[in-house]
Amino acid sequence: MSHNLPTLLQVNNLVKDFPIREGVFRRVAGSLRAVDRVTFSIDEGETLGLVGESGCGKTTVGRAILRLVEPTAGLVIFSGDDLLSLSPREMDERRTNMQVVMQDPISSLDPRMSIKDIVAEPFVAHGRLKGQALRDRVAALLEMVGMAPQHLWRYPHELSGGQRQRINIARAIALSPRFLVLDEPTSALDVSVQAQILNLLADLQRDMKLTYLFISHDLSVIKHVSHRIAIMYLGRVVEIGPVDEVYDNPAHPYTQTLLAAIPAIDLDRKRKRFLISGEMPSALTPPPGCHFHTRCPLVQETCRRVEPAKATIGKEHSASCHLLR
Amino acid sequence: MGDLLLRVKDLYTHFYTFEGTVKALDGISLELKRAETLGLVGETGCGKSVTALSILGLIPCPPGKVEAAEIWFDGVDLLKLDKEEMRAIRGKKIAMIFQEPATALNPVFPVGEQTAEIIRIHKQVSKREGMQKAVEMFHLVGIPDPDRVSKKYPHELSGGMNQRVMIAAKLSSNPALLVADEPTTALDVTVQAQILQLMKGLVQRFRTAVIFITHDLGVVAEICDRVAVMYAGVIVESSKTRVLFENPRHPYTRSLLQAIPKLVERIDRLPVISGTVPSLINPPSGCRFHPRCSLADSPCKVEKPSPTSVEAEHWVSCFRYDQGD
Ligand SMILES: Nc1ncnc2c1ncn2[C@@H]1O[C@H](COP(=O)(O)OP(=O)(O)O)[C@@H](O)[C@H]1O
Ligand SMILES: Nc1ncnc2c1ncn2[C@@H]1O[C@H](COP(=O)(O)OP(=O)(O)O)[C@@H](O)[C@H]1O
Ligand code: SF4
Ligand SMILES: [Mg+2]
Ligand SMILES: [Mg+2]
Repeated sequence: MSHNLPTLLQVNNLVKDFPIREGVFRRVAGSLRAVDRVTFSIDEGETLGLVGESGCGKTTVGRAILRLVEPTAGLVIFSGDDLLSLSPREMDERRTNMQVVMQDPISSLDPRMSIKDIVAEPFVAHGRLKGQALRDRVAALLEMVGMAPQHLWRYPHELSGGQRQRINIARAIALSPRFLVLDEPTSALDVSVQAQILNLLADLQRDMKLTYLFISHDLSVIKHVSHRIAIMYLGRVVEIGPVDEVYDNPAHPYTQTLLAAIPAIDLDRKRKRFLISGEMPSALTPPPGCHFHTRCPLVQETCRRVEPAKATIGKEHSASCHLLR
Repeated sequence: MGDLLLRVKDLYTHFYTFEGTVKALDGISLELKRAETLGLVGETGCGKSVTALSILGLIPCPPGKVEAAEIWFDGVDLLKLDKEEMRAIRGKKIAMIFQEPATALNPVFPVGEQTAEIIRIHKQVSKREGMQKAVEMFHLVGIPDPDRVSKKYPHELSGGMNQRVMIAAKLSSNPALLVADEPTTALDVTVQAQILQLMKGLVQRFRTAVIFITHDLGVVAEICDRVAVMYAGVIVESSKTRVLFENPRHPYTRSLLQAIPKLVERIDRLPVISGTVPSLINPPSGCRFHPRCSLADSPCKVEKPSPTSVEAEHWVSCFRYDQGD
């Protein structure tokens, strides 16, 4: 979709190194590269799915884009602004346009605040609304996320997991942002509740013309919500492309093994049994060459030494593997 | 039926709490043959773990109270056993593994030593022989370099590796029944696929019967011969695995299957189940699903439906299962 829509977010060669501290004095003893030259763009109104196993760097990508952690290097252009060159104050202003919803709906809500105060907080923080206008807006937001007005006076612990996630979403959309990072927003929920939240996110995207970076480790959810997807492995994007194309025709050996590993109820789905052994290495000691070479069933000699370059597979579809050159 | 291993009849487990009596299980009946894998599936709080713990005699009483017509296991009625006899059966003939292997393992001993100790409980062998057997078991469950890994502590191993250790330790006594409570829920999909394949191979080889608890119908499709779907403390439907996916009859099973995002077909909105999971302190009268059921009629509100045979080995607890499309 959306080939003629303008690009809202451009991320180029994004890098995030975390310092590794050791000893009683917590001296910096080295660093860990959580995100390694990640590049992608997202068009207005589009959903880019970011998928990969835990620890591969998905959350860090989302947080680095919003500068909730400071990127080490790279370029982030949002709606024409070079975000990494902005002062903290200027960045704060941009954040009204860029919000995040996180996985754990309980720890992201202050237990001592009522739902009304939680949802009103962004307005108070940005000095946008007060009095009756604020109360009306908060009530309207609750309705938008499908919650009855009596919940205004409740506290987070009185709500179910699904309701708490609705409150997180209400707060995220309060200042009418254009872009949301959705970091595993349904991973803590049961499937029937997940379905409700996924529908809500789809409605909001349509009604508010929102653009999403949707992070998940669940390949069925990613397939359902995304227009395009990027697959990450140990800090790097190994494949990116339109969702149907990547699922029907995965190019990178990792994508192929990942898709083959999904336990699926579509029993007649044709797939090769293509199990990989081992686990993702630690980001502290990434292997040389292709990061996937220690587990790759198709590994070549070159893969152990040389990092593969990006190869074009099709329109908007590329992958980084030596076999594709 | 000579091959029957476990028969649970009319199991009611209640918890007496300050808020009231939690009627967690409302008449669970199930049967398991030798070497058969039965999936117990349903959303959080539906009673999967309580069912397993009730069978194993591990419900704390008080606050719990377990009542059943019978819990027959391999020729004995478990309800008639005292604590000591029950403990002996649990260690040897029935084994359990859980979602978080690291919490079941002792953090201060190397995993090899712990496994050897577990082996020595059942087999009168020396320390050295125990250790040898442990390393053998590690090899069997696909732990690479078992000698080296046996000297590691649980926190030095990944979740997947710890789960392999647990499986090795628990299967060392060659139990007739393995109860696995969400053993792969905390794992990444490629590692989950490895563990599922491993378990499948081992239980076939040792002819172990398994109660496999999961909230993931995809996992059920991968590993279970038969499946029982639970809702609010009741088994609403049970059948051979394939039959459940091809011909689901209970309205809850149908809605649940529809709520899962699919890999193959693409739809914009997921069908949802209206309402929320009921309180088990004041569960709905009649069929516990009736307030959320689109087929509910007057008898559903007053009478509890009992299991009805739809076809061979396919049972549904619903008055109107033949009224759907
Ligand atoms: N604040 C931090 N300090 C040090 N390392 C971190 C920090 N946050 C994340 N990491 C590391 O960065 C890598 C990527 O983590 P994360 O982005 O959370 O992955 P994902 O969201 O894909 O599970 C992991 O190795 C993780 O341990
Ligand atoms: N010790 C306990 N005291 C009170 N209620 C309990 C206790 N253990 C379980 N329950 C309740 O029993 C119901 C079933 O729980 P459980 O079997 O753990 O569900 P699940 O299907 O997620 O494994 C839940 O409502 C739970 O709150
Ligand atoms: S580059 Fe080599 S190791 Fe990496 S995925 Fe391709 S074939 Fe496998
Ligand atoms: Mg994350
Ligand atoms: Mg449980």
